[in-house]
Amino acid sequence: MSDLLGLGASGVRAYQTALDIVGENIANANVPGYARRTAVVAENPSAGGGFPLTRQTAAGSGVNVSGIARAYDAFLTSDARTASGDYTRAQTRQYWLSEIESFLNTGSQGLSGRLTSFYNTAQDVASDPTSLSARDAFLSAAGEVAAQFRSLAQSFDATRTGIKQDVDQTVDRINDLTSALSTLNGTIRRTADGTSASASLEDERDRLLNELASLTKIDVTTRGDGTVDVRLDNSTGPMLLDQMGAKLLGATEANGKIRLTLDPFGNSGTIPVPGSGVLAGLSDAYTQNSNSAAAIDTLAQQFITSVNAAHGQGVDLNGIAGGDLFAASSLVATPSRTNTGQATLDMQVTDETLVFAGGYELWYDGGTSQWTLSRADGSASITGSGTLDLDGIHLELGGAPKGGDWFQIEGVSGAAGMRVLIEDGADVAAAAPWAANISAANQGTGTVSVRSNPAAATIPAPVPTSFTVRMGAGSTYEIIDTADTGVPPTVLASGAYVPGAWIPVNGFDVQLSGTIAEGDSFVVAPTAAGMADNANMLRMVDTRLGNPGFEGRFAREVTRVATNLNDTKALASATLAVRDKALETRDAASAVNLDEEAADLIRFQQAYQASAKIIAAAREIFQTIIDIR
Amino acid sequence: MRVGTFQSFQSQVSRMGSLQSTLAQLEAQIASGKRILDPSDDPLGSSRVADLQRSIDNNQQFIRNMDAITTQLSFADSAVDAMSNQMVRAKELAVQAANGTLTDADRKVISTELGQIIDQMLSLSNSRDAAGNYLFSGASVGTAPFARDATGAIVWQGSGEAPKVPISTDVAVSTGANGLSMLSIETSGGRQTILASLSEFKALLDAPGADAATFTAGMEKALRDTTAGIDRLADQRATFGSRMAQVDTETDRLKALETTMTTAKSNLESLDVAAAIVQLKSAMTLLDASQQSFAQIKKLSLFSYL
Repeated sequence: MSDLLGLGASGVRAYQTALDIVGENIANANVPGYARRTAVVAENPSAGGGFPLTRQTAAGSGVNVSGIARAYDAFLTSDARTASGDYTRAQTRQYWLSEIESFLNTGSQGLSGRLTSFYNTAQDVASDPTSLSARDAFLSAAGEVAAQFRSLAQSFDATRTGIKQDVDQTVDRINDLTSALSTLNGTIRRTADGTSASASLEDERDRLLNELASLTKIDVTTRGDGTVDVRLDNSTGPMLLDQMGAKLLGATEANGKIRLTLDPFGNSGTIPVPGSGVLAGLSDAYTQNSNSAAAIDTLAQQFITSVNAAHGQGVDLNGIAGGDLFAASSLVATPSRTNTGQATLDMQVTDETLVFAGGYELWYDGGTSQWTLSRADGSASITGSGTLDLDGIHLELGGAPKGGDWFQIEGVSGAAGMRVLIEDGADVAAAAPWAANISAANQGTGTVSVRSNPAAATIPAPVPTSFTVRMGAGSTYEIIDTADTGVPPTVLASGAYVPGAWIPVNGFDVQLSGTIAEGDSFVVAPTAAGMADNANMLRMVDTRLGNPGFEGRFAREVTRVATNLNDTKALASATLAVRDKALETRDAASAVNLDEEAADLIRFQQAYQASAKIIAAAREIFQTIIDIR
Repeated sequence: MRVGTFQSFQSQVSRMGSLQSTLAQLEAQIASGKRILDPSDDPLGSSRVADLQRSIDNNQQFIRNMDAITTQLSFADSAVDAMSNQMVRAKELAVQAANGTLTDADRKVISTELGQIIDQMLSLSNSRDAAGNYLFSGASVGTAPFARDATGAIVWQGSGEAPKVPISTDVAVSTGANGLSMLSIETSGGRQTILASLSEFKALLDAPGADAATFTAGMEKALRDTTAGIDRLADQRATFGSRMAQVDTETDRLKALETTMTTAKSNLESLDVAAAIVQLKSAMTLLDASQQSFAQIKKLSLFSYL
């Protein structure tokens, strides 16, 4: 007779475990990364059967749970990981590129509009060269251009810092994850396969790997015992985690790009950022930010050079040669991060030529309540309170500093250091340096033009300040010193008169045209104060030309970022769809479906009840035998 | 295929989320009336919009420049017109004075009127614009172009040429005239200004008892000079007129161009509001449907029947 009671008991035990597993599945249905578990129910192996001539008539040995299976598909899981890395890359890149786009493109308030207004106010000066209000409006527009360049440079720098902070946090998280995985590898190695404990450890392992894959591109090798080796990038990439433990990852900035270092304290070699995950998105955005910042910097430098070159060729309303309109570098005081006080600092440069190129340091001594300003190399310094003057720098200090407060003062150049050097509208060099006049006594109707030509130098020294071009006999011209009262005056240069031909003189070319009578003269002298001459302003307006001009080149930079962002948006929505699909497919294999669990619940409940009935039947049968007297 | 309960919730939520962001984008577009909100919505279109906007701004600046030119030229033209009228009167006086039967007293009367004409001509030559700058002193707009020297002779003291203002990237138009060139005429005594010639005419009338031959020769010159002066001023007005016509034509052209560019810009960036509202409606319907179906489907669970 078989052990009916034993059979019933084995069924009750097995289906109780199976019901427990169903309960666990239902309880964890909403836990991300939980893989559905199933109790593997198997018939107990039959005992006996060793005697070939004896027929085994026992029914069997019942049932037991041979293990707990975890619904898991290695390929689908890895596919979902890759898909999620591609999506997080696009998503992260989209976030930061939108950031760059938003400060780069501010419409007519942005740099493009400012440049247009700079050139248009320059034309207003050209239409009324002696108007001080037009000149002031021009300087104010120039100030706006400089402010916009500076603001862009600051925004690029803030974005660079922001991205770098995210990179550092991401790298820290990657290090946490690999170190957690390394610990997990050890635990998995010690845990028996096919148990609830091993299933939950493997769930945790896959969760960590999923997060790691969303941060950077990894290649995972799963060993027979369930432990994993992780490489960066692909199957030939550098080992991030092996059975020995995890390697530390670090990130550095180099040449406008993010680079990774593996084992940053032992290895100086850098590796490129692998092509998926948050880290890749950050690296993409960092590169775009650096490229745009460099482009804007170059644009600023070229704009300054070209406008200054034009401005320097003219003379201002006071008849004085124009200097630079823009400076490409400024001194900037940067407070130390450790400062605790609220000092106010007003810095003025009284003499640019004296400023020490190596920079300065400024600190506050709480004991003596004195500020000290010193050159960075310590070669000169000054101590005092209130105002400090050193090397043409004038500092006015106030507010509530605290002991140990410290400022670094350095020159910044490019877009970040751009500023306008001229404050008075009268100092705008709108006029050409040379002006030509027809003598009132001329008998011909000839006209004269003059154009600046710094290369022209045909007059021997000593060079007069004012020249008279006189028509001599036989259609020749003679150049004489206007101040030469000798009869006849000394001829400095001469030649045949060709109507309309430019004659190089000294710093300028002169052109005579029309009917010129013998003895007619034209005086070419430096432009006097108060002249309504706009020739140099027109030269400055012409600096906008070029294909593309400064405005066009800025617009092109905006378009470059916009195109990148546009592509990224498309990529983000495509990779999101791919990721969702991959997750669905993975979950089809491994996630919990509540209806299915409900059905299992009923199935195992019925099996449990049936097994309990067997025990009851065995008891009744046994009772029947007891009852026989 | 098995459907993971958790993921099916997640993907429904994510689909509704993307519908909601579509709605937000459409709402922002409808509110602003623009199809392109950020350059990344349409990089190429947005860059063309920026180019067009810049061209429109530049056109407006040229139109502004031309307004300034027109104002200056109108000032100059009205001054020259007044000078012409004075010269016509001066010529009449020359015709009267040439009559050999006039007495010294008669000449005196003519001379007095001629003196007034000369003063008027000097004053007109020294006309100023709205900003107080002299119109005919060339570049030295702060200096009166003509003044009487110690001997009472009218001398030129301006210099250079009036500024040329750009009306397009490569054409610039002069806003005035150099008084010396404007008033210089060819006379039998060489090139001289109209003012100098009139002063000579007056001096002849003022010289009592001049011999007949000198007087006749002088009067002939005065007649020729006043005629030449009238012609010269008419030429000058024609120059101003042609410049104004050039500016007018260019202004009209730029205004027409601006209309074209504004239309092109609007075509690029403006929203087809009707289409956008249809899209909005359809997205709203879709969102509503997915919310309702979500609510219905999620009610279905075998557990409800246990």
